[in-house]
Amino acid sequence: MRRTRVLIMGMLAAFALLFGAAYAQDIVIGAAIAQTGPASSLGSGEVDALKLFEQQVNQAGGIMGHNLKIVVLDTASDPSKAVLDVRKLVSENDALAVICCTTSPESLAVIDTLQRDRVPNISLAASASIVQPASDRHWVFKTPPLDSVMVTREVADMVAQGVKTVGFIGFNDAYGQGGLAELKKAAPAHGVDIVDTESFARSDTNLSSQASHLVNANPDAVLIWAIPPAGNVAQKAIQDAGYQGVIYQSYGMTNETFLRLGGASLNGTRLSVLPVIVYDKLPGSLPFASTVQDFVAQYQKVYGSAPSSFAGHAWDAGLILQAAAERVLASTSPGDKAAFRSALRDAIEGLHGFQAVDGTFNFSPDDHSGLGSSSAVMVTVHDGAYQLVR
Amino acid sequence: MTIGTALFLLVNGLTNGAIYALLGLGIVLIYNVTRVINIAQGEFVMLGALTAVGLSTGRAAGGLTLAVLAGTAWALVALLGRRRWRWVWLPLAGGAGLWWLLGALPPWHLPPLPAALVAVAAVAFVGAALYRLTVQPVAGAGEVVFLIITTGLYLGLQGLGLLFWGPGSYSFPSVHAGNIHAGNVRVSYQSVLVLLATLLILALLWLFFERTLFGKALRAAAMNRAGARLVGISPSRAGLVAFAISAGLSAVAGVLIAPLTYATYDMGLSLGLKGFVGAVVGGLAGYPGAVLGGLAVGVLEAFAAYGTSAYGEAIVYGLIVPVLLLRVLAIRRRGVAP
Amino acid sequence: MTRSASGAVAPALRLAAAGLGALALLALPWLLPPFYANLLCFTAIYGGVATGLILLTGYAGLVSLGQAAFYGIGAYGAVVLAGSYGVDPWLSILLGALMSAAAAYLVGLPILRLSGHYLALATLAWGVVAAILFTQLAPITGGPNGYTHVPVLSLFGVAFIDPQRFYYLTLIFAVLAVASLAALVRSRAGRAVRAMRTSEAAAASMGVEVGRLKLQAFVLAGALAGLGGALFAYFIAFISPSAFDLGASIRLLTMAMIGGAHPLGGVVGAAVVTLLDDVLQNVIPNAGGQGGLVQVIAYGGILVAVMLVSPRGLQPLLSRLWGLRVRAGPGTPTDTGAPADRTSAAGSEGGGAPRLEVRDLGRRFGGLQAVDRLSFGLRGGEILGLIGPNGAGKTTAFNVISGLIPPSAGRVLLDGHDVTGRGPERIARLGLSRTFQNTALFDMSVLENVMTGCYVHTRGGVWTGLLGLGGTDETRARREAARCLARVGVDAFQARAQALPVGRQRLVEVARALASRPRVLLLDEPAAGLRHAEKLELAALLRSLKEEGLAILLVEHDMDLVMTVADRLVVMNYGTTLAEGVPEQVRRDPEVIRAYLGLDAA
Repeated sequence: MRRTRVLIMGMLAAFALLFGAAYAQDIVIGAAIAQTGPASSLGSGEVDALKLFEQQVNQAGGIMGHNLKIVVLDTASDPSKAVLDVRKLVSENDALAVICCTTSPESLAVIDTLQRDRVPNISLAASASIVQPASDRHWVFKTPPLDSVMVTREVADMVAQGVKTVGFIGFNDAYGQGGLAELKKAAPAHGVDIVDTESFARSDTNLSSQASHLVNANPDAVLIWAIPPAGNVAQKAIQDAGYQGVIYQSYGMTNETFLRLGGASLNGTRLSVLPVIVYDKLPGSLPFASTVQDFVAQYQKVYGSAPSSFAGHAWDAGLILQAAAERVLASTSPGDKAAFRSALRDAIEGLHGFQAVDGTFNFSPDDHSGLGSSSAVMVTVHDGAYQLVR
Repeated sequence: MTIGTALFLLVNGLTNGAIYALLGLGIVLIYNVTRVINIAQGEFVMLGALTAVGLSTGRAAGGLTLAVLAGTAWALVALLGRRRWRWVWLPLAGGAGLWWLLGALPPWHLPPLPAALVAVAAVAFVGAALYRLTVQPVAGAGEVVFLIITTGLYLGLQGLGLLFWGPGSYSFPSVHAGNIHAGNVRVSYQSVLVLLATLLILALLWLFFERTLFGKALRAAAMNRAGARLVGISPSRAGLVAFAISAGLSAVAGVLIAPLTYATYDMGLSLGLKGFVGAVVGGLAGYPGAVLGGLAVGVLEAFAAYGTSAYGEAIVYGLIVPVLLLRVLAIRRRGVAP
Repeated sequence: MTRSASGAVAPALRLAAAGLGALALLALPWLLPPFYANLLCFTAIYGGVATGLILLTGYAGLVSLGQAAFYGIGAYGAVVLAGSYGVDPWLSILLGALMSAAAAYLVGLPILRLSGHYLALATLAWGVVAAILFTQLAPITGGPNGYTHVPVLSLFGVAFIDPQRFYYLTLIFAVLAVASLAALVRSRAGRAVRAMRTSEAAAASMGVEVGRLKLQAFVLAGALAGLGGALFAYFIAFISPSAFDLGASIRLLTMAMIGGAHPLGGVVGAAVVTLLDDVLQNVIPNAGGQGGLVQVIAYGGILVAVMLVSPRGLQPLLSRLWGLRVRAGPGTPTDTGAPADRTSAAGSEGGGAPRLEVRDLGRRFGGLQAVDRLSFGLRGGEILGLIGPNGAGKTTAFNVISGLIPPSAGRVLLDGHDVTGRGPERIARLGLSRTFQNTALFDMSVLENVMTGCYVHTRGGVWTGLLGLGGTDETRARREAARCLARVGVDAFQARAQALPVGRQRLVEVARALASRPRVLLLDEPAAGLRHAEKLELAALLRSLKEEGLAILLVEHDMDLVMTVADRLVVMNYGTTLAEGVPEQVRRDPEVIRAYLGLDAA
C-alpha cells in the first residue's frame, strides 16, 4: 500500500518536474468565464477579448520574454461550478492569477478558495461586495466600476433634468438588486423620491403587469436595471403602457443587442455607460481615451464588430495582470508560484494612475476597485446611436 | 386597480395565455399518444422563433441545418434497423449534400410569412425525427425515463440553439406594428394576431381531429392504444404524427411570440414549464382543458405580477398545488375504478 | 451440501472485497491529483442526496422535481444558523437536515395525495417557489448575491477546509446513506415501499399504510438532501440561490436515473455525472470559446443515449455486483407442505355468526350502477362462489368489500364489526386478504412477495429498516413465506415474480394472501391461466383451507371449479343479485341460464 503510494507520488513528481521544466517560462493565467448559461451573452465577449489579448501579447514577444497562457474554463453561470473551475485552475493548471468571474454570485463564491490558496483574482462582475470590505478581500480585485459610480452618475443626471420622482424596475438577481440598493442610497441624497420598485426574472417574457403598476405610480423618470433582451422588453412594456416620462437604462444594456432591438423607440433614453461604448466620441482630454481606442481598433480588426463593455472588463484584467507581472518578473521567477502570486498581488495593489479601457485605475490597500467617476459617461440614445451628454 | 388597468392586464394575460395554450396543446397531444411528458417542448418554440428570424434576416439558417442533421440520423436508423448496410451511404451523402447546399446558398431574406411557414415545417420535421430517434426505441418505458430523455433533449437543443445563433437576442418583425386604442386601453396588433392565430389553429385542430380519418385514428390511439392497434393504427405512426404536430404548434407559438418578447436561445424552458402547468391544471387529457389551463395561467400570471412583482412567479406556481388537490378530490368524489 | 460450502467461502470473499473497497475509498484522495479530491467530495455529497431520490423515485415510484429545494433548505439552514446566529457548525448540520425533514413533512402532507405527473408537477412547483424564497428572503439568505459568512468546520483544532480532508466527512455521509438504503430496501418497510411502487392497491390490501409510508420516504429523502446540502454549503463556503434551482433538481434526478434502483445507484450516478462534466471539460478543446456549449450538447446527448440503451440505468450492472437478495436462510422448512401447519388465523369454529357480511351494498360510477343492493353472508369454513357474466360487478364488489373503493350505499361487516368505508389497510389488519383479477405481484422475488404478505402480523417500520434491526420478525416472515409457498406448490423462491408464467403468478398471489393469516380470503379468478393439473391442486388447496375454518369468497369463471368447491353461489348480473343458493339449485335457475347464454336459450 505504502510502496504503491510512494511509487505513484514519485511518478507524479517526475511528471511535474518534466512538464514544469518545459513550461517554466510560461505565465499561466486561469480564467473562469460564463460561456454557457444565463450570463453567456456577457461571457462570450469576455472570452473573445482574453483570446485576443493572449495572442497580441505573445505576438509582441510575451511578457518580458515569457509566453502568456490564458486557460479558459466555462462556469455555466453557476457559482459552484465556478469554485470547482478555480480550484482546478489553481491546482491543475498552476495558474499564477485568476480572472473570475462573469457574474457577482460566481465572483463571491470563489473568494474563499482564492483567499485560502493565496492566488490573486480579478473579477469581471459588478457587485461592490466582491471587493468590500477590503480587509477580507486581500487577494481580490475587480475591473468594472462599482454600481455606485454608475448609479450616482444617473441620479445626478436626473437632478439636472428636473426629475423629482423615480420608479425602479430591475432583475430579481444580483445585478438588478445591486442597482436598486445603490439607487436607494443615491436618490434620497440627491432629493429624488423612489415611488415604486418592481422586479422580474431574467427569463420573464411578459412584463406588462409590472410596467402597468409602475406607470400608474406616475414617476417623473423610470430606471431600468437589466440586460438585453429583458431590458428591451421592460422598456417596450413601459412605453406600451403609455408612459411619457424619461426612461433611464443601466450600463448592463450596452451590448450591440440593445440598440438593434430597440430601434427608434429608444430615442431619448438616457444611461450612464462605460467609456468603451462611446469610444469614437470620447473627448481627447480623458487620459485613457487612447487606450480605449487602441483596444477597440484591435478588437474590430479581428472580430469585425465593436467590443461590448464586458469585453473591455476582460481586456483590462489582462492589462492589469500584464503590467503587474512586468514589475514582478524583475525580481521573482514564475517558477516559485507562491512567491510570484504574492508579489503579483502586491504589484496590482500598487498600480496607481494606470490607464485602461474602463478608466484610470488607482488601486490601494483600501480600494480594490480603483475606478473613479470618470468611468461613468452619461449618454442619450438618438437614432440608434449614443450621444454624449454635456 | 382601475378597470382600465384590469382590462389591460386581462388582454395581456390572454395573449400570453394563448402562447401557453399552444404549448399545452402540444404537451397534451404528445402525452396522450405516447405517455411522454416533454420537458423539451419549449425548445421547439425557441427553434421556431430563431429559425424564422434566421430565414428572414439572412443569418445562419440553423434550424434547417438541424432538420438536415435529424433527417440524416433518422434515415440511418431506419436503414440500420432493417439491416440494409449497403445503402447507408445514401442518407449520408444526401445529408452532406443538403448541408453543402445550405452553406452554399446565398443568405435567405424571406418575407416574414414564408419565413414563418418554412420554420414551422422544419421544426415539425425535427420533432418527428426526434420521436423516431429518442422515444420510439424505448416506447413503453416509464414516465420518469421519458422525463430524463426529454431533459437530455432540452439540454442538447438549447446548446445547439446557442451554437447556431449565439447568446444574442433577435426581433422578428410584427406583421402590423403599433397599438389599438380602445378608450384608454391599449392593445398591440400583435396581441390581436396571437389571439386570432390561436383561434384559427384551434379550429384547424378541431377539424383535423373530428373530420379526418387520421385525426380520428390519433384520438383513438390516445384513448386506447391496444384497441387502436387492433383496428390497424400503428402506435409508432401515431406517435410520429403527434410529435410532428406538437412541435409544429410550438414553432407557431415561437413565431407569434418573437415580435413581443424577442427570440433568444434560452427562451424555451420557462415558456415550456408554463405550458406544462396549464396543461396539467387543465387535466393533461383533454384539449379544451389544456387551452383553458394555459389561458388561466396567463391571466393569473398577469394579475399576480401587478404590484407584487417579486413574488408573482411564486404565486403562480404556489397556486398549482391547491388546484391539483381540488382536481384529485373531485375525481375521487365522482369515482373512477382504480 | 455444496450450498453451505460455497456459503462459507462467499462471506470470506465478501469480507475481503469489502475491506479492499473500504481501503480504496479511504486512500482515494491521496492517490489522485489534488484537484480530484474536489470531485470526490461532490460525488459523495450528490451521491448521498441522490440516494434519497433513489428511495423516492427508484423504489417508491414518486418522482420529485423539487429535491433541490430540500437540498437548499439544509444548506441555508445550516450556514445561516451557524454564520448569523452563532450555532455550533456541527450542530447546525444536523439542524439543517432537521429543517429539511420538517419542510419535507409539511410539503409532503398535501402533495403526496397526488400521484404520477401531478406529483411531478407539484414538486416542480414547490421547487420553483422555494428558489424564489431563497432569493427574496434577502435579510436571512443574502438574496441573489448569496450567503458568504460560512464558518469553518473544525474538530479538536483540525479544520475541515482542505478538500482532501473534507472528503472524509462527505464519505461518511455517502456511506451512511448507501448503507441505510441497502438495509431499508431489504426490510419489512422497504418491501412495503417497493410494493407500493408496483401497485398501491395491492400494497394497501396487504395492510401497508400507503399514505404514511410515502410520507416517511419523502421525509427521509428530504433529510438526506438537507444533510447533503449542509455539507455542500460548508464545502464550498458560499451558497447562492442558483445552486438550488430547477436545474439542480433535474441534475439530481438525472444522477438517480443513471444509477438506477439500487442502493449504490445514487453514488454511482453522481460519480458518472460529475466525472462526465470534468472529462468533457478536459476532452473537448476550448478553441474559440465554444467548448462550454459543446459540453452542454454532449451532456444532453449522453443523457438521452444512456436512457435509450438502459432505461433502468446502471441498476442491472450494479445488481450483478451486489445482489441484495433476501435468502431463504437457515432453518427454513423448504420441504414442508405439512397440512399440520396452521397457515391461517382462521380459527376452526364453523357455522355460527357470519364472518363476512354484506348488506345492501351499492356502488355508483357517474351514471353507472356497478353494484346494486348486494347482500350475502359468509361463514368460517365456507366457500361462497360469486359468479356472473363479464361486467356483472363482481370485481367492483370485491374492491368495495376490501376497502379499495368506498361504497355509495350499504354496509360491510367483518366479524360483526362495521368496516364500511374503512381503508384497505385497516380491513386487511382485521383479517381480510385478497388476490387480484389482473395479478398484482410486486416487482421483487417470489419469496419477498410472499414475505410482504406477512406485513400485518410482523413489526418494524422505517427506522427499524434503516438500522438493519428487526431480525426475528424477518426470520419469522421468511419462514411463514416459505411455508405458504410450499403449500401452493411453488418453489422458485428467488425468481422474479413478474417473470413467472401467469398460472404460477396466481398461485404466488394466493400464497401472499395466505401469508397474512387471513380469517376471510377473497380470490378473484384464481384459476385463470392455470393448467388442468394445477386447477385440481388449487381445488384441493381450497378445500383444505376450508377445512381449517377459513372463510373464502371466490370469483371464478371456471364453472367446473366453482361447482366442485363452492358450498353456495351468489349470481350477479348488471350489479344486482340474480340468484343465490347451492350450486345444483343455481345451475338450473332459468334466470341464470338466460343471463349467461342470452335470451333465446332460455
